[in-house]
Amino acid sequence: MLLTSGSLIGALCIALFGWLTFSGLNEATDELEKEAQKSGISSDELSDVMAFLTTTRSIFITMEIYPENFSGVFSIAYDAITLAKEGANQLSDKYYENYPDEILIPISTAIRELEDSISEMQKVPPFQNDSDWATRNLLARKNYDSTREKLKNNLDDLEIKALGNLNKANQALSIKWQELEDREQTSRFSLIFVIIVYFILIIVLAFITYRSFARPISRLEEAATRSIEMNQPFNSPQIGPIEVKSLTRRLQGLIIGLESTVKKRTSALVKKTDELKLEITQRKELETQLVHAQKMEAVGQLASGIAHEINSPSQFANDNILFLKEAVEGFISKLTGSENAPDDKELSFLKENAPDAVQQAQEGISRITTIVKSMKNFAYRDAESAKKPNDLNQAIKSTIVVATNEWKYHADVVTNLDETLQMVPCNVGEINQVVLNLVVNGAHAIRDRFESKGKGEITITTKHYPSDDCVVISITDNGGGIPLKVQERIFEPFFTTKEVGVGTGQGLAIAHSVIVKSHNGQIWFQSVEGEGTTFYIKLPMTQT
Amino acid sequence: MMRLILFFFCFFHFSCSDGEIEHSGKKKLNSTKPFPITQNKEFSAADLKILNRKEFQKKFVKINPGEFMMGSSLKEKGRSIDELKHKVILTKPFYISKFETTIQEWNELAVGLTQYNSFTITPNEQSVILALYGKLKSNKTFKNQLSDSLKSQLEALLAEQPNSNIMGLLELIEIIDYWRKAPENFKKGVAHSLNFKIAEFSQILDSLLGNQNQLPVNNVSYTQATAYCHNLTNKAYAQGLLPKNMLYRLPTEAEWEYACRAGNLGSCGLGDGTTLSGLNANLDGGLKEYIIGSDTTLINRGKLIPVTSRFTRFEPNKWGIYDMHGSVMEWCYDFYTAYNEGVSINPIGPIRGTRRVLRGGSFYRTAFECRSANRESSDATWRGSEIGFRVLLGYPVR
Repeated sequence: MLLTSGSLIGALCIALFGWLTFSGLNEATDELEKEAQKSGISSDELSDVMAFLTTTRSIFITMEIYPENFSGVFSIAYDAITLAKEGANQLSDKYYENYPDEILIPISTAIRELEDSISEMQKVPPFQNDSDWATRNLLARKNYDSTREKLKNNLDDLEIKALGNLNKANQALSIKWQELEDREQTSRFSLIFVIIVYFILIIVLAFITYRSFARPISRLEEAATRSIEMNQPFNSPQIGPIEVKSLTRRLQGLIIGLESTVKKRTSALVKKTDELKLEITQRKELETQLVHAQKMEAVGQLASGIAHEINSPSQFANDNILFLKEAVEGFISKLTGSENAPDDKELSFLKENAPDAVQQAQEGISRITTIVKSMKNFAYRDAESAKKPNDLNQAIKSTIVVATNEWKYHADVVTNLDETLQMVPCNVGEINQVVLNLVVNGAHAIRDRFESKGKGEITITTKHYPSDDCVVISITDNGGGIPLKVQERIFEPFFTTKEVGVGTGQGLAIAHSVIVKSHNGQIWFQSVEGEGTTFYIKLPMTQT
Repeated sequence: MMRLILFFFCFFHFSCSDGEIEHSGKKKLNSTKPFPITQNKEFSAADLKILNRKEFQKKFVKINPGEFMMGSSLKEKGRSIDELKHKVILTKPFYISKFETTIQEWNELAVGLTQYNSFTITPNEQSVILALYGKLKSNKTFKNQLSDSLKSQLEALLAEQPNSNIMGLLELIEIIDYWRKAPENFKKGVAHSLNFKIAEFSQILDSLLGNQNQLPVNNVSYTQATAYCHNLTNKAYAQGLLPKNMLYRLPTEAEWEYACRAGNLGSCGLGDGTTLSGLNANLDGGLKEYIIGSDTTLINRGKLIPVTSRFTRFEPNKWGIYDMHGSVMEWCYDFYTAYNEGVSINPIGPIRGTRRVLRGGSFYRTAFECRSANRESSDATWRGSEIGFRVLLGYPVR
């Protein structure tokens, strides 16, 4: 404020002073210029006058240096006269002020007289055939002489006057020049002085401003540093000019406001995070439940088939057991000697067939056991999607068994499992479900293609790739293949080509989710329409 | 801040420069000059008697007083900067020569050096001259009169020596002089030997001489040209053929341009003033871009050709003046300087200077340099091969 107003007033003063000096100088320069112009006119004037004098005097010279009888003499003198006349005209035109009629008229009269006498002298015999010629010629010569003397004096006067004029002009010019120089000198000094004063004023003002602004601000800064380093509340004394005081106050208010805002925001953030965590847990739970539900759905679908599967061996075992019961009763009655005891022929038949019946009953039971075990295996639910090392081959075999009723009427299943395969860390329940889905899909594809006119083939292979540290499961069917236009969409949830109510459209979506998301694996397929489809599942051997 | 200061400075500056408009001081003007300009005078009966002589009218044409725009307009093709257009009033009548001064005229007055050029003669001309020379040699009276230079030139020609077909003007004049003086019988003999009549033989010799004699004189300085005019004046005065108060002199620049334009405002004074090329003047019209008008014939003769009514090949301008454009440059009276603006009455240029004005261009110059308004200048003592002059009979310039 102080600096601004101070420097503004200072600048105005300098401008005013500069203007005054400048206009003063300008005036002086103008005067000098006028004088110089006058002097220039004078020097021009002098040379014009001199030219006039020279031409006029050349009349005399011409008349003197040529012999009397030279025929060209008068004409040359005439040329000089012509120029003298023009010169007199021009002098009178241009410099009438300096050379008024009093000076020029006698000269012009003399020139005219000179011309007359010369033209009289020019008249030469024999053309002028009169006796007076000689006397007139003599008179003309006399006239010429006297006029010449007169004119000569006049010309000298003219020359003196012209020189005087020039001298006067030059003197006036040099006086003006001196004046201008003096003036310039003074004004230059005063201007320099004023400028120095101005700069001193500015420096002083700047220093005062620095004192009144910079110190409170540096204190403010110190307080801020302290509060940051010591982790103390910001506190600074309110000193200095009004602006700085107000700034300090506002800064304090700002910092307090800031602190409360930060606290509010932080607590809100913590709350949100907790909510989010809860939600994530719930999500995961839901996902696991979804996978399991789907599995259960599959199991449900498979249940009748499995029941049928179990039914035949149990029937078979039951028949044999009935036979064995009959045999045992026969043997017992024989041993007790009951009258109902069978005869020897019958006994030998029983004795012959009993071991076979035992064997067959055992086989039937064992068959049932296998199925039940497989089902148990399949339905196994890992806790919290933990990935334990599992025998993948065994899992695949179980799944094939569980799904037997889905494929056995349409296809043969060929397994080509890598016996060297080590335990693969995975959630075996989920993998089972994926394999089941793929096998069932393959079986359905084959069924749709052959429609009970023949049997297809499903090939399942596992292969360990040590170089990539992974295992690839491939499930190949020779069904109808996947139509090209749906190939892109098959992994989408709720996408199905089956009739409404038959498929949920979740199978392949869950397979994708399980392999890619929870096992960091890959799932892809190769399909040729009308020839079959191969699904590949690539699982890493180590889970991170 | 700085802007504010700057603004104030500007403000002050402008406010003080406002007052600087100067009023030029009034100048007292003289109403009458020491030698006032005289008005158009009527010629007296005695003067008219001299001026209306046939032989004078054959050579000179009267130009009446009048006014015209001197210089060229800014649009004129080939214009130079020194051709400021301004009004000129000429108050006195004058008679200007229709033709440039010829070698014959120059030699008759014998100002300074006489001019005798050499020239090439064609085989036909050679045979005529050698026939005459043969008879002269065998004639008793003429045999001893023949000059040495004539003899040596014609002997060389007879012997068919190389470069012998070049003949001097002086020798040609000499041999033709013999022919004129010779008796009828002698002439008859010479003429019949080539199956000519005497008149025809005379005709051939006349045109041979005329073609050389009637060339415009060149290599003439301003001072020589002025001296020629003085001599012409003196001679006329002595013969009583000089009108009162009049004299022969060089035209002033204004008089020259007035006569050259003959009322035309354009580039040249010939015809309607729109065309100037090798077709209507003896100039370098060899380049299409340097001719004025739409002529398609490009001519550059590269030499002088005879003037005067008998030999001229070009049309005169409207006022009957020949060869104002091209041929030779013509000395004017004035010192060379820039034109003054405004109206000038009988201008004669400044009273001091070194260079005199040359007008009209030459056979060596393009049409641009031969325009009516084109100005050249040279030192008064310079003698150039493309410089000649034209005389004027009029009142003294002042």
